[in-house]
Amino acid sequence: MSHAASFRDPAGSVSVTPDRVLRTVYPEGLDNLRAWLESPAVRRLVDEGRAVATTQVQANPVVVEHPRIPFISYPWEWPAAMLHAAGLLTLDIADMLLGEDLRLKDGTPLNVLFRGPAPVFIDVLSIQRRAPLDPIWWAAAQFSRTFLIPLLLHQRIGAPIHEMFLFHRDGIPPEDAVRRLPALRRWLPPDLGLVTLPSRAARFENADLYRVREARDPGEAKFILGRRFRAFRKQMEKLAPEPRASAWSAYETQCPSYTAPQREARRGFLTKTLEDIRPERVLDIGANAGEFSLLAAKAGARVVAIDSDPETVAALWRSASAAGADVLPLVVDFARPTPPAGWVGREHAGFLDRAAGHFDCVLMLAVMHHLLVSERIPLDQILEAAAGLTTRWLAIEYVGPGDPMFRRLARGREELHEWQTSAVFEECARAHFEIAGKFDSAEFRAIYLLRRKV
Amino acid sequence: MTSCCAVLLYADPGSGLLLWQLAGAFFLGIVYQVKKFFGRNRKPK
Repeated sequence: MSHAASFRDPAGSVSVTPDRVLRTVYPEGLDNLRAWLESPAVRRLVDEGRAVATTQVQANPVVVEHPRIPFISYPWEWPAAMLHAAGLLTLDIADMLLGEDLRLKDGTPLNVLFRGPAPVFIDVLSIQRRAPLDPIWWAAAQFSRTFLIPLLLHQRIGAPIHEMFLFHRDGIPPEDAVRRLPALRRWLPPDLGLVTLPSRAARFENADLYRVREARDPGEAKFILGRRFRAFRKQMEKLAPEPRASAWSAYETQCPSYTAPQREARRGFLTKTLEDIRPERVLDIGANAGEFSLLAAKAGARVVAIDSDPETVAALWRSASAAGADVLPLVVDFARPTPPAGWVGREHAGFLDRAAGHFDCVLMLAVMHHLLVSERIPLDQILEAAAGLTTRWLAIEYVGPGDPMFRRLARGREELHEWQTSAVFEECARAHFEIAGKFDSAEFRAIYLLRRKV
Repeated sequence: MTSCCAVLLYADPGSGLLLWQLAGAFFLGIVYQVKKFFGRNRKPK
């Protein structure tokens, strides 16, 4: 089946099955494929795990195979730090190809996926031969719209990256961005060159603008492009997202529901549980700083960690990258998961479609009361949704109405929830699961290890 | 720089962003030519 997101590409199409990723290359794309396969720079990138490997499996029509990236994610699920990493990779590739008279024909984060916390370039047909006298990177504007300007808006006004991309597939043009920037800041670099002047220059658009210009000699073209990439790199350095604290940054360590020994015992229980059940693919819902995602990765699992707070997701991405842990952190609110996106809603699958049947273990620790109280999701529906995501295990922490955090969230509406006792929880759980274990994690909390009924 | 035929575009090259890139390329082209001129005329020590 042709992948819904590949219909825009005139050079080829991708089909994805549970085991294989195959790319059919049309005659228009054969030169691009050859350029990819023959490029020493690409070989280096593939060896470093920064570009996807490609093997030809059929000659007519030409079909190549790629290893499957374990979980597909989109820029509208990334915090700014991950977009920045994807941008640096794209720029590195564009720069490396310059030495081989090749170029990237587009510069979009949709050409990058993450394997764990590491970005991987996937669009092998994006590479093409460069006319030696062409001094223009035609994808530069797309690179600005989809990397630089979103990062600039994030830095200046805290605009969340994931919200921008959900509604703007091709990024933010300078004409839109300029209105969002603080009035004085618009006139200072890098805002001036990235947004303000290009937005003013747009008034002088005419058809003549899009003619190819040629440099006087190949050296001049290469010099201009090299300086262009160097300027982009400097802008990327200035726009590197700094770690920021959010209301949820210290939640794991400062939650008033646990004493220090209880916190240790809880960690010990989960460490032992993960070592016992040895899951292969874990989804950590409401992962926060990712204490348990990292534990699961240490136990050998491939982890996807979701949380609605971009700053905690960015913090987890940084720690997973530093530790080399197989954790893919994503900005996804489980109560309002990423919807399907794009043309007729079928171009990019929603989060639940991608997650269904993918995980053999789901963790929902200290998250149930947020769904019950803040989101007003009924208990039986929370368990039903969790059962739809795991093929085998669910480790879920029951949080009773007497819990201090539960009461804080309820804001005087405790009577709405008083009936949600652990007995009611167990009854709801038994509709989909068998109870395989229970650990009292705090006075009003217990972690249940549930095995999905077949 | 001189102009020639049209190019098959893939990513939207933008309008203001492309114009800004062209202006930058024009300036850098002059820098390159100046450097090349002085490089050619510099006598080896």
